[in-house]
Amino acid sequence: MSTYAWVALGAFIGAPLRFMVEYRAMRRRSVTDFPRGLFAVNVVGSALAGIVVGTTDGTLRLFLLVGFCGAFTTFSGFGWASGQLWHENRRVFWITVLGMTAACISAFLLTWSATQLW
Amino acid sequence: MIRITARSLLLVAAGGVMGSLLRFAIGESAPLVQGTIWSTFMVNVVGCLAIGVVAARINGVTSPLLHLFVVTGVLGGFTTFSAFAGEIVLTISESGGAASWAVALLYMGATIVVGLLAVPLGVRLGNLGHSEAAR
Repeated sequence: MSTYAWVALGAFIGAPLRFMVEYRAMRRRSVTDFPRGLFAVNVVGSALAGIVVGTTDGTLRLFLLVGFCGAFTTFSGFGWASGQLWHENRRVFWITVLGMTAACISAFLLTWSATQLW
Repeated sequence: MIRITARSLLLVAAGGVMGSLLRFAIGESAPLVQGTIWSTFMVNVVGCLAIGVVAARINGVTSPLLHLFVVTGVLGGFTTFSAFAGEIVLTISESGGAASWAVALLYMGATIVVGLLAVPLGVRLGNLGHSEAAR
């Protein structure tokens, strides 16, 4: 199985899973609120990526990291939501941009560091 | 209104596969950026530009399935936050020196600033020569 097939398989699972999480969060949210669904997928995806980087290699890593985590998390959705918040609610804009970046970096650092301990 | 059905999930999955394969191909073989953190930078910035263009060109109310396929599927799969966050950590941890901190902070700041500016730029590009015809 080529490397591309493993990436495709991971994305085939990760992308619709993100859609389901965002869909559930979106129903009770307006454009002025903090994007909880987006925050959830990006933080959970970053935490999982830390575990994957620390414990796997080869095709399993391509499948989970480049395919699943790559498709489960999104930066374009983050850019779009931030753009709306810039106009609608400047305070939540800063919380979203700085908070999501800090939370995702922390999540990756935490799980990846944990894998380096044993 | 979009609902979670077998069809909408398959559309997102198919778009996500296309976007992710494109992201992988750029990281593997794009000139100048292949194998570096800057391939992720390029992917995320281009994805932000594209989501602006798409917002100007595709109406999510009248074409919800096309919008879902392109935005949630292709662009959501193309861009990534996990690689962005992970690369910042890994860049610093590789040597831990001042130079790696500088690269990581530059990468983080550039991705956020250029990415967020690319969204409204994409909307403007999408509206070029289109606004009179559409409205």
